[in-house]
Amino acid sequence: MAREPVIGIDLGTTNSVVGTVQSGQPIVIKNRLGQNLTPSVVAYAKSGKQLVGQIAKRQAVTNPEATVYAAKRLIGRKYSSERVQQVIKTLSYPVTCGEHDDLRVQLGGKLLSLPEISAAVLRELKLDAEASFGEPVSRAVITVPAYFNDGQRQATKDAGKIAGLDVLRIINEPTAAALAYGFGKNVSGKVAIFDLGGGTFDISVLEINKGVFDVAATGGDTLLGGEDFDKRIIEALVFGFAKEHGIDLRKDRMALQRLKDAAEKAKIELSTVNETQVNLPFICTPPGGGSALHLQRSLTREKLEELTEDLCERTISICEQVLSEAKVRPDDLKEVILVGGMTRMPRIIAKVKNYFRREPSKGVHPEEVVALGAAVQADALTQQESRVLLLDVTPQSLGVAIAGGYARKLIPKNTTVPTSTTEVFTTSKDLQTTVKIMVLQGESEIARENELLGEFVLSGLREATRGEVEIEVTFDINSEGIVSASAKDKETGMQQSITVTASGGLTREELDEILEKQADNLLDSPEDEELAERRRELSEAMRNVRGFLPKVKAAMDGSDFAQDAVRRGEQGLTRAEEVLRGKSISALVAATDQLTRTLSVFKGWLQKIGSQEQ
Amino acid sequence: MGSEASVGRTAIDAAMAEKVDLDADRKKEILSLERALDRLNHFEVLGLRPGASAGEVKKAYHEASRRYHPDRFFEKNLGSFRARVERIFKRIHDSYSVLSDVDLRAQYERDHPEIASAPAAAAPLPQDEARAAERRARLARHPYMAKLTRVHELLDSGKKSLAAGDFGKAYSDLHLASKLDPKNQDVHELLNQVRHRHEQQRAAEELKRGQVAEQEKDLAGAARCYLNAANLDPKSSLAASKAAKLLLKPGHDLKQARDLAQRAVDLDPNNADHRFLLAAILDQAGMGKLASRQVEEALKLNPNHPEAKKRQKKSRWPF
Repeated sequence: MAREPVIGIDLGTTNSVVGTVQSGQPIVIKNRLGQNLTPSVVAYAKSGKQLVGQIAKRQAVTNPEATVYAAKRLIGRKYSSERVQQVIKTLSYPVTCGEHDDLRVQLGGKLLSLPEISAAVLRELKLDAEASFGEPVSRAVITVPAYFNDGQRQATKDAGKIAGLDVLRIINEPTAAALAYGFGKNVSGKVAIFDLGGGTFDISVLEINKGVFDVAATGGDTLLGGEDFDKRIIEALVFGFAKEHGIDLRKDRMALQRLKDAAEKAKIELSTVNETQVNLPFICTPPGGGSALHLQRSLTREKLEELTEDLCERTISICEQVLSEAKVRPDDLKEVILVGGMTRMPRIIAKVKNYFRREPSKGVHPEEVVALGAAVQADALTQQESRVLLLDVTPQSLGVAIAGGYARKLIPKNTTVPTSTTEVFTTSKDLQTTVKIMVLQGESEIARENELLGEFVLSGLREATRGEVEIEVTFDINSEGIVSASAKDKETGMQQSITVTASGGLTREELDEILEKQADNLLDSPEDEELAERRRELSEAMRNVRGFLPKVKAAMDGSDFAQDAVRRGEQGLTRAEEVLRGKSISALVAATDQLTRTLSVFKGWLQKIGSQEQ
Repeated sequence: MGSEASVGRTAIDAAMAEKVDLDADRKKEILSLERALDRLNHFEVLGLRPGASAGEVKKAYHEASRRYHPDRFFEKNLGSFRARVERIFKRIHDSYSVLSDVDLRAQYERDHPEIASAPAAAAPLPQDEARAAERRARLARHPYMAKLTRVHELLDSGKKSLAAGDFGKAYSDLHLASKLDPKNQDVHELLNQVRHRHEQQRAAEELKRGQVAEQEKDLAGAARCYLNAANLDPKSSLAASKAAKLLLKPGHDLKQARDLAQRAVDLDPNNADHRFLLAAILDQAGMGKLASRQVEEALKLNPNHPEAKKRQKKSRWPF
């Protein structure tokens, strides 16, 4: 039997894509609407139905408060963080603070965590894949921006779990792009992946050597992407409108949603034309009454470039930083690969060309390549003899907090995983009997400016003057990217350790609770509607065949033909019983077809006998 | 420490008996490499010779990753081998981190001066390498294989001598090899090459000896040496002309001198000295007309050739 198919998912800020490797070739799986891209939008319709993808996006204008988009910008983040506060201001849906400083979205009368929102998108993609394969799919590789921290990765993994996926691995988007680029080709050399997507910017440098993909360095900004470009356009439009009519359109959620759509459309158009019109009739009614106002403005490419020049410049300065960390000069690169819809913008292409001093590669599809790469990695992991091996790195440094509120790095960023390291620390005070080990992620030397992944206490130390008791701290990252830390008293051999898990906003209990509820809900999902329908069909066919069998047996004249037909009918019934217990839609359909054919043979046979007898 | 060894033995037996998704060879390979890790230096872990270039280090690291990265065993039931493979990969990565960083590597090489002088090219699995070498040696002792082995040894040593510039040794080795196995094309080709190089070398030596003899006024000896050189290396115009010059002296075979001088001119037509020498020999032999033509040629090449000028004057004003 062929192995169960595995998929790769690019869970994007604005759009998501699912791919797989079929007969050695990575391909995009079209969604059930026949499109390659599924908008990462989840909505609750007024009817109380949950909508995902294109249909959710389409009704966003009329239902802005119950339409969640760009969930990726919030997933795994802390509510209190400054950047989240900034992002929330521009959202049209309400976000509140959860119990552990995580974020919750009010949707359809329920408070949903962000992993649950993303899970809705993932489940949609899973169903698309199942519809395409005609069999269940459970194993997937999901991509995240290279600069996602441990919490954001965990939250994405949780989303996969809620969607009923076994997440084989979380990999970085630029790395995935490189996998898709280098897959099946005999390329060797260093390549840079410049990935400017809907919400995030990533740059990675990889060395490809006969199927080994060695990540040299990676970096980026999780809050720099197409949405920020849109925002600049919206601001310009809002500002112009306010100057003309004295009305702030941002206060009107529906107007804001329309502006958002119009800005995105204008931005995309300006990648191919030099000037475009923004037309939003009846955008608002003036507060004092009177006829509705329209927004009408022309926007040139030059104006857009002027509005977003600093954003473009920021991508290049991040490139400089990452390349210098990798000790790579632009001239050393064999190729620069552009990924993400935003890299269609001519200004970005020009900047990239100017910095890397070469024409960027046009060999990959910027919006699909990440999902294809995820599919390649899923295939490489589950296949016996794969030529592809990814040597991935830690995106951020790991360390511990030390006396004085500083952070001491134990595993620097861009270290290949799996890895482990050990360092000896001492007590910092006289007569100190306990030490608190705080596991930090981030680049800052100030402890509190980093992300706290977890903490634990090692106690029972010998009372001594400071610096005398030695504690050995070991950090370990396994190939799954799971971090564990342990501390050992060198004198007594006493040891304490933690495995850092589930810091994605949901606690273990909450996740279990959601998963449990999920199990109850299972019969409601459309996948199961179809399954039930097919089962009903098969049961009916079985009933019919069973009804005819005695008649056929009675009228049997001992001919080979009749015996053969009866035997086949009985075999068909046995198989159908088996299939009925399973969940494969294609098998159900096949079994039904076979029984229907048997039935028509029976009917024809009986008719013939009947006519002979008469 | 017999008991310790036996404990190690039981641990290995237990691991070998474990039911995991690995075949016996792979198990053995992982176990022996894991046990060897502590003994191996960074170069040996990656299967490199000391002093390997940065490019070689990277290539070896990728090669080793391809074999031992835990992803290679994804979803496989590895039992205790999971931890072993992870340990091996971590060590591979550690070795790579040190050797790929210019500063760390320099420091490491300073701290371990013995590595640079260690025998070259240690393979990742020294035990296996040693066993394979022993097998090869045993096979080589078989009478059927003896002749072939001897030929290969001679060929190898011949190649080595050739590379070292010892053409005499290379020639005798290869000559012997070609006697043992006359049909061996490799030996044949190499032998021709060596013979040529060997003769050139000997010619150069003879030429030097001739020059020494000439300085010591042993003209007869010098002539013999030059003649030898010219015979050994028919392409050397210098040897030919030197031999011809000395053969010009009375009591020698003029015909031979003329042939050699002609050869020198043919090999190096743009040398005025060679042409004048030929002219002198032709004069001696009573072939004035031919001599005059050579003198003219020589003067065309070098209008200030003093002896040629003198000769020309003489021939113009015969009275």
